[in-house]
Amino acid sequence: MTVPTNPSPDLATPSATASAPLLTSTSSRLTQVLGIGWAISVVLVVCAAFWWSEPDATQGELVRLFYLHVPLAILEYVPFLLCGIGSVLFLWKRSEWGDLMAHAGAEVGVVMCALTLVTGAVWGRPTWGTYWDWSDVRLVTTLILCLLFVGYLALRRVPGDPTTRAKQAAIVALVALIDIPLINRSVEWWENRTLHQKGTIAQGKIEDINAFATLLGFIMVGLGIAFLMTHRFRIAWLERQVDRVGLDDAIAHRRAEAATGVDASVGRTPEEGGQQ
Amino acid sequence: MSGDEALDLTPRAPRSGGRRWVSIGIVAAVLAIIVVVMVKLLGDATLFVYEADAAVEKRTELGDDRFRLIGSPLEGTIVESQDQGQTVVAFSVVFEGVTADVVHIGDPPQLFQPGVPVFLEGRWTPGLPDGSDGFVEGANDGFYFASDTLRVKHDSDYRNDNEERISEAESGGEQ
Repeated sequence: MTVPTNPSPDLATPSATASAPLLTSTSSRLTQVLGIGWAISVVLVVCAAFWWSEPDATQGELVRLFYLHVPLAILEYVPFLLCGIGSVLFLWKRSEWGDLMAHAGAEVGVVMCALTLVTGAVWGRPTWGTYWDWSDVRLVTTLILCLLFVGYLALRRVPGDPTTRAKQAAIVALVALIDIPLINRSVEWWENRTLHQKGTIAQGKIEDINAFATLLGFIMVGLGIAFLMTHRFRIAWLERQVDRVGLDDAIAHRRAEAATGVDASVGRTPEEGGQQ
Repeated sequence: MSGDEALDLTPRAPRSGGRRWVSIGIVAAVLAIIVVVMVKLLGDATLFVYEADAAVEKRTELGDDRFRLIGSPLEGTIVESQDQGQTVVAFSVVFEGVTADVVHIGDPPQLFQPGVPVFLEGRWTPGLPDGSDGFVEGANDGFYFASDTLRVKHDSDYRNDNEERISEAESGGEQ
């Protein structure tokens, strides 16, 4: 039996049979390049953050967390937006590819969002004087974004008709995305209710080697997201193929039973008392 | 996956629904947490926020209401002491040229320093703090802001130490 071969971008077409193993790896030349690039960028960011860059005039050594926290906080939107694009594709075209991309985007986004909150808390304690401030709109809306997508992932685990579940999840994802503009604009709209400063990068208020370290941070986080998204997408794709193979196998088995009148599970005909 | 021996095709009884309820429970728990978070955010949003100039102007109107005060600590006004094992920080903040005196009980954040804006939570209190004979270079207008929460709000400028020293030197400042 041939495994269904739905085309997928940058995905090796599974050509295994039901008795042969499917793809056993989610790796490819692309992910190898991404992975190596990611590893190199991690080393560069560590060097830039701890040796090459200078302490900040106000924050001193604390500024070194900037090179991780800020890229995470900004690029966390990317997997969530990919989740949104995938959800639209699913709702509009019933695209399986879109549904899988949405799932992968939500998972990677939740990880990035959680890391943003953790690194922010670690930075917040010495700078603001607290790990968490409930009155800070940006903090709370970021937490809500994280929770909404945790809910999205939980919804995807609810047993039931996959198409209906994917449709519900897509709608939840699109509703959750409304939070992103709120997070982004919160420092402007609620200036006196946030401890976060206004846009440092957009306004070019970081320069020289510190700006370079920030750029490296963006490259590192960007490569990490691309690496994780690609692998997660492929895992989801392979899971889907395995499900299909299992279903096709079961149907073929039943057909064989019907043709021979033999209960394959116990090797006896029903007339002989075979188990039903 | 090909062998007859591996595949049990016996019709199964309907699922108990246990896994479904666990998943639905998780979704419900997430929704409940989101509601709690929103309530916390909205609860804190009921606290009025005033810059130092507005807080001084509305002092009578505010009475002993708790509110949030915003201002920048003035250079040379910060005096730290200990009282019954607690850190007490007396200082003055300024906003738009208006100064307000503050007494904060608790350890200030590492970044607390003159010129870096702070958010304070507390209320106006008449008179002077116990054992004090006035604020160093403060407003000393008969009221002080008794604070129990101090947060530092740093600005969006990031300049390294060397740049700062060069800039100060160029503008004739001391190194």
